Amino acid sequence: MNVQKLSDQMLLQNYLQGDRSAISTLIDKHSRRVRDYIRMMVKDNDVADDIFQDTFIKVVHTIDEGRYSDNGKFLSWVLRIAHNKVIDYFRAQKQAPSVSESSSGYDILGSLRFAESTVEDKIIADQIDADIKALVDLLPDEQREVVLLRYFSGLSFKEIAEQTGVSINTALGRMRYALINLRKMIKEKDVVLC
Amino acid sequence: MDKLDTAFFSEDYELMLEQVICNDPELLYIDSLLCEIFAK
Repeated sequence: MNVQKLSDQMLLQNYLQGDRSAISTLIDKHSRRVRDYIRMMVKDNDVADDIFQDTFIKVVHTIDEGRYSDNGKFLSWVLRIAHNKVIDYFRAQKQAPSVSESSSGYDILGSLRFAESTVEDKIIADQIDADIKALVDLLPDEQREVVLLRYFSGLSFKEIAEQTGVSINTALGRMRYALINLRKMIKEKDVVLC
Repeated sequence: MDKLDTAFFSEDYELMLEQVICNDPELLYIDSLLCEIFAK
């Protein structure tokens, strides 16, 4: 059987059954796409390589700990982890006073707000901030609360659930609806995000 | 359900939400914006 044609699900299954090489095959299979995504986000190949490595370390740990529930969307899950690693990187950059403006500026999905390279870009980015915050204020109370606890306070969904007195599933559902509602409002109000 | 079970399911559900967001570029972008804005 051609190992390259094995599905992600089969490779995962093989890995979990003791075939250690299966995880390498799985990583190789998706490495180019994941690496391209990270490079597109950070625009620095060395940084991208580090984030790429961190991403797959987390992937393997999560699988090893039995916390990955396979639903046939392995790549999407890996890309999401990579995305979070990129966000972590930019957060760390912002907190490091020695980082130069040029290396801390970045561009996500072609948006000007993340580059902030000129005064005009900064004004646009500030406007986007204000617009998004105004839209968050328009969310139903329970959704706004989850958004603020998650993104502003940095709580896990377990902590959010405990603090708001709902199940974890409900907290996650509220977050999902909050994002969907924000998208709807962005379209309805013609909010420009780039 | 004890605390260990709750933690386990939390991780599971979070992964599910991550997958939902990642499968939708628009939601992914809004998520990025929220991360960036509220991390300031």
